[in-house]
Amino acid sequence: MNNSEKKIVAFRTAIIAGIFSLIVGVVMLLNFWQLKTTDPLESEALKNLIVRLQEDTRNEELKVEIRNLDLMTRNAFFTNQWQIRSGAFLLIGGILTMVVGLRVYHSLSAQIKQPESMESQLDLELLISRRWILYTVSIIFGLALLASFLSIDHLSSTYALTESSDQEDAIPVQEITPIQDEATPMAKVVEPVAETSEVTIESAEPENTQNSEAEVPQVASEEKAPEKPVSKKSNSSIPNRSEIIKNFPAFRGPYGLGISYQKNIPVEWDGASGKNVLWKIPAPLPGFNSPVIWGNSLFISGADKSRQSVYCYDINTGKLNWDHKVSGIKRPAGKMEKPTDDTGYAAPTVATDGRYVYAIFATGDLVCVDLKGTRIWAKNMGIPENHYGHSSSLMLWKDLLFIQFDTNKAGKVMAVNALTGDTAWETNRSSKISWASPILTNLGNHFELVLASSPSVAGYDPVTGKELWSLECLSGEVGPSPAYYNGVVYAANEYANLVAIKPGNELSVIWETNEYLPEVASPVAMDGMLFLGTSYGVIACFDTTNGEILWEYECDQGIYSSPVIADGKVYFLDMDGIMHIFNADKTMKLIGEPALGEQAVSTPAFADGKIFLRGYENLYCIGK
Amino acid sequence: MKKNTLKILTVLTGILISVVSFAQQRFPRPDFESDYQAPSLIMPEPRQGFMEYIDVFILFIVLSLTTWFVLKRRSRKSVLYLSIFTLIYFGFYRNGCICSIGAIQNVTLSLVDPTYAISLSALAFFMLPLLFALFAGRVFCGGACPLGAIQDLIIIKPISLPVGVRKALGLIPYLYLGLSILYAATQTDFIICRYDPFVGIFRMDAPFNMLVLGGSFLIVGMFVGRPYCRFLCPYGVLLNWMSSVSKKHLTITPSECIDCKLCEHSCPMDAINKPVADPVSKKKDIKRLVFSVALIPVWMLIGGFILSQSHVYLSKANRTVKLAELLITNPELKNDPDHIDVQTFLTAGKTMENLVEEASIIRQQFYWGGWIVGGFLGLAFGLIFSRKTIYRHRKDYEPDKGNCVSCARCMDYCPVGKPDFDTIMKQIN
Repeated sequence: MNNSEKKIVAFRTAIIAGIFSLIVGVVMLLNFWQLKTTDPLESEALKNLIVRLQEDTRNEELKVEIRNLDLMTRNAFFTNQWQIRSGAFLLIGGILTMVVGLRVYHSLSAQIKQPESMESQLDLELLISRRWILYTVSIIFGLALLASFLSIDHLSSTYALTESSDQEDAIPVQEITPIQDEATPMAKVVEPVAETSEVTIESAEPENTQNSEAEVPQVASEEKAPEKPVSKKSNSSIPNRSEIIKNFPAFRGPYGLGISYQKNIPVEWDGASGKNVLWKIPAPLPGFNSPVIWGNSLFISGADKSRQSVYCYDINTGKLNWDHKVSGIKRPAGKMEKPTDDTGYAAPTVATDGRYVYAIFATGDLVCVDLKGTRIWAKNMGIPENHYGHSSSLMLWKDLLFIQFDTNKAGKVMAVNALTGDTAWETNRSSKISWASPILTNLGNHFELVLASSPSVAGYDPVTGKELWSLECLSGEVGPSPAYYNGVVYAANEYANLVAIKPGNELSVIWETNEYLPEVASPVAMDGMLFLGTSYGVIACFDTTNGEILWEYECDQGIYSSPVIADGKVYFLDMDGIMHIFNADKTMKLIGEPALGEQAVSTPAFADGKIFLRGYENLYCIGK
Repeated sequence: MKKNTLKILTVLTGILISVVSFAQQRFPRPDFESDYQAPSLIMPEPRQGFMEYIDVFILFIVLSLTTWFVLKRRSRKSVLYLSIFTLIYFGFYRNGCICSIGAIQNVTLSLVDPTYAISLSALAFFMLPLLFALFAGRVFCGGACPLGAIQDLIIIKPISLPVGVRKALGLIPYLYLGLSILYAATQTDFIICRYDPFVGIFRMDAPFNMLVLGGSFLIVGMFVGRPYCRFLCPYGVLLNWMSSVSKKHLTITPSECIDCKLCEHSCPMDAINKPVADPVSKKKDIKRLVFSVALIPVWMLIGGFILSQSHVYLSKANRTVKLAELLITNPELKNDPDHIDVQTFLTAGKTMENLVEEASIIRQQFYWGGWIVGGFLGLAFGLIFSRKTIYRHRKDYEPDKGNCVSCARCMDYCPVGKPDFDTIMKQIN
């Protein structure tokens, strides 16, 4: 083979290899594009089938179809990946052959070039070099400067609460406005509304809360409502235990323990058809807090970015008795993180003692109103640094209102005088941020305020705020509140443990397990059983003596609403609004699964013969 | 008897080496009795035991051989074969890791973080090429660098870039070096490894965009000699400095240059300096040089100021800073169970305050790092600019000691000492 023939062979080889590489490259690009657009987890067809399955959960054929489609999509995905890998080898081979062919061709065609002139052009070269160096340096530094101008420092400009800013989501600092007495100092944080000491406190009796139209305006604003003087001395109306357990005065009922003492609770209803729905009204402002009940009044709160309200309804008719707009409270300078949509501005449940209603919001605004909706006092507890939004509900005991205030900044628990809003005590905690709520435990000779957070579950003297005991047993972001029954505290959190604690001087862990753990819903314990619901839809009953699982049940939807034991049954409301009702027993017996007809995460409240449920959109009264 | 013993020992040693190189993981993967095939790792597994020292030893041998081929044997072919070996061993067999270029980051991290223990092999990979460059020029680039080798082999029809473009692009490696040191020192990322255009080819496994980048470099490399080495490689900056003051260096001609000009177009990297006559006015040159050198502190201040002001932008690549800003601007992501970074942070039990504090510290490091890197860039640019203000008298065609990658192509073009010298002379005439 002579030189010319070698050149032709080399050139043709290079051309063929080049065309081959080009084709492989184009096919690979198309394959890659297809792979990018075919994500098995994002398959529209699969999504549609899953939606259909949610509507018809027992359709076995549909399940098989979903599995087959899922397998097929995944097969296609991994086959594409294999094709890309194989294509890469072919491409490399093709390019390599082309390069070798071209190199051979060019080496055979190479000729010695004519030398250039000896006259040096260094002067010009140096000049051009200097110019280009200057241009390049200017471009590099210019781009760096541009980047510095275009970059926003979110760390220092957005996060610091102490700096003022006009960030869109920041809640503006509101100036205090006088409520009635113009002599009231504007900047006073605690707002006793009136100074008169001779007071008639509204009775907590149900008949007194049924106000006539003339007595209570439908919507009472603080500007219009007549201020009621409050006695700072009198505690004669503090409800006793029998009064408390007759009602549902706080998140998860009396003392926050998840046990209702009401009877004749319905087990059958249907929100869609209206069966056993005594009344249904649209919830006003949004809020994931739960209803509380005293006498014939039901209280909830609601809030959005610019409005906050406490509402009172007649439990018999669903009529709005009053709407107290919570505004005009002076807040500390700064701004708050926007709560997430699934927490919102009104996640904490209100509390009542039959004399007053107390509400706290994600803004840290705390308000006390009487049963006519008249503001008694209001203050801001400090804007909670909470990336989801403040969620800990309030708890009342005698004349003390307890606030669990575990934030990103620091952990603390506070008690304020329920009559005046003055701080009774404040105890710093070595806890991380939490979303759990306090409970009250009656240990026979004394009460304890029990709080769960990461890393500890701790008991406090409700009178002094002194920490009585503390046990490190939790971790992560603690949402579930503790449970208590018969001298044992139970606490749990997802990714941590479920722990049974003997509190007090002989502090110890009785048992712990981690089989099923709640993310949001609090556990409830009674008569040797502990019930909990997980965010992935498992309901489990544990033996409180050893932590063994007595029974379990799987729902189609997760559970955020806390279970409540009432009338010998335990009520679990899942996020689809389906109430799973079981006998509160060591053997599983499903009583019913009535549906509300809308999504729900709030905890139900119970009155004699009725259940009150708050869905995303509506407030329901279920009864026979 | 002795011979047999030696043979047995050799075989046994070979078997032992093989056993080590094929060593299994200490804990085998659990068998779930499925058809699932565990995907191959994108990152190569760590080198087993003493095998990393074998890599160092091989590097030393390759560097020594290249030096010998370039300085003594003056053989382009030998350098070419050696670079093919390098490509196969350090490239495809060792998957491009460890490499001297990436070792810059290991060394940087070991200097700023007392808890980071650099391996001896990483240190050796960083130091050996620099030491060889100090004594023999950039022999690492010529025969021991797999990245250089793959580019060298695909050069087909190199074109000479205009001098301005060469100088402009030649500044990029300084910027890349500065940034890679800054990111390594702040423990943000090893950007040299992350954006190594050829490692995906060596490993036959890389994100698609990296494969495209590697392919693009190779396509450009057919017509522009070694684009990565000349216009991106951060290690090339260090080698350039060492080689510029090297004791010995490749020469185009083995003895007296006959000014035949045959080598003039032989270098695809444009690294041959032509003869330069004496300048007309030395005074003017000196004035310009003094002025340029006096401006260097100004360059440094400007560079330091600008880079320090860019610290917010630069630090956004840091994982902690990125996460903190993400959660500040999108707090709803805390509810996203599929966001792995967010979930990892949440389950670690740290508070937002901790995260923001950590991120702020890192951002502050970037601020001061920006001053240092900017100052360095100002110094480098100032010196390069100053060098371009003066004439240097040159009698013969010489390789540019800083930029020459010791590929030995030019030697092939030099007729001096060749057996067919007379024939070539005739061809010229």
